[in-house]
Amino acid sequence: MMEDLSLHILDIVENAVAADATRITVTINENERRNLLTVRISDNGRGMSKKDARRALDPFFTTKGKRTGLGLPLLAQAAEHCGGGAVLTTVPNQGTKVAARFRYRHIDRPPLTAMVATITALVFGHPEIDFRYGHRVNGLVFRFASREFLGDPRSTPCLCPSIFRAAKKNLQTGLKKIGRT
Amino acid sequence: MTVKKRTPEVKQKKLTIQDLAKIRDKAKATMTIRDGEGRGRVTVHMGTCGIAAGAREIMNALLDQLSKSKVKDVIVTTSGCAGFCRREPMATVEIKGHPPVKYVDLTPAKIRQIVKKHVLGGHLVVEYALAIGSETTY
Ligand SMILES: Nc1ncnc2c1ncn2[C@@H]1O[C@H](COP(=O)(O)OP(=O)(O)OP(=O)(O)O)[C@@H](O)[C@H]1O
Ligand SMILES: [Mg+2]
Repeated sequence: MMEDLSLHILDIVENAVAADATRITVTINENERRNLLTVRISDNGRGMSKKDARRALDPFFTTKGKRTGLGLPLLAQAAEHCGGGAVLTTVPNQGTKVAARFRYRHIDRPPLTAMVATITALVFGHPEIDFRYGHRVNGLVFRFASREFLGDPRSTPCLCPSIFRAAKKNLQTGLKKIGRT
Repeated sequence: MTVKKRTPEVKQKKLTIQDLAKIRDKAKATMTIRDGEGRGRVTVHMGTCGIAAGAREIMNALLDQLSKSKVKDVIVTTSGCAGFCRREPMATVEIKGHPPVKYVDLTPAKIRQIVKKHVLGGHLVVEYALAIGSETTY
């Protein structure tokens, strides 16, 4: 259903947006020597009760008034299938962390593919949110912060073409330098 | 974040604070709009079903087309699944003073058309629409 990790990441971050987070951090760590890829998404949103957190990986659990809630279970399933797993840590009214680990060279590990597209969609789809993104590929690190491009978080910045282009360019060149897209 | 001090940062010609301030100042006059101000709002449905069906590319095409058209008074945002998973990707266009319109089975080309015809031109693109006010089905 979800063929690349950058789509899972978008999906998990959209959960954080729906939980009214104002600050969201995405960290990717690719370590070939340790045969490990980890993705962490943390937010300062409303968090979940213990009871809800226990059910969050169940595809039939959602609080969004429909029948299924697939985002978390799909990520967990993909990670488990690749010799890793997903861990959810959440505190009501404080926030949520989702961490997923994959064996780097597992034959079925989904590729990351398109982080530029995921981050631009998030940052400009939610200009009021403070996004931070850190991506490490072996020794190299790229960092991005939406606040460097967008202004006052208390009002909704409109879509300014030059800022949109500048942020996209920054992501493209930064990721290219660490060998990603 | 497990970033250790000795990690070499990727050297790249970073935009300086001044560069950014310049870009920002240029945009300041129209920098911010709040809900209710401006021309309206476009919501891309970004539940898991929407994302799996291609909502990310719809969002990026929408942003690109709006920014190319220099439209600055439209709010772009996302929502969860609307319960029509089979018709994803979907977006809802709300132009001030008009009922919301849901567009279904979107492609990047369709959302660009919707920006040009509906958001800019004020004409509903009937072929791509699901419903007006979410009861009437085409
Ligand atoms: N970051 C988060 N903060 C607070 N609650 C969360 C968070 N992520 C998930 N949840 C809760 O867990 C439920 C399940 O999430 P999941 O992504 O699996 O499904 P969903 O978002 O409800 O629907 P879908 O992803 O299929 O569109 C959500 O409905 C929400 O109540
Ligand atoms: Mg979800």
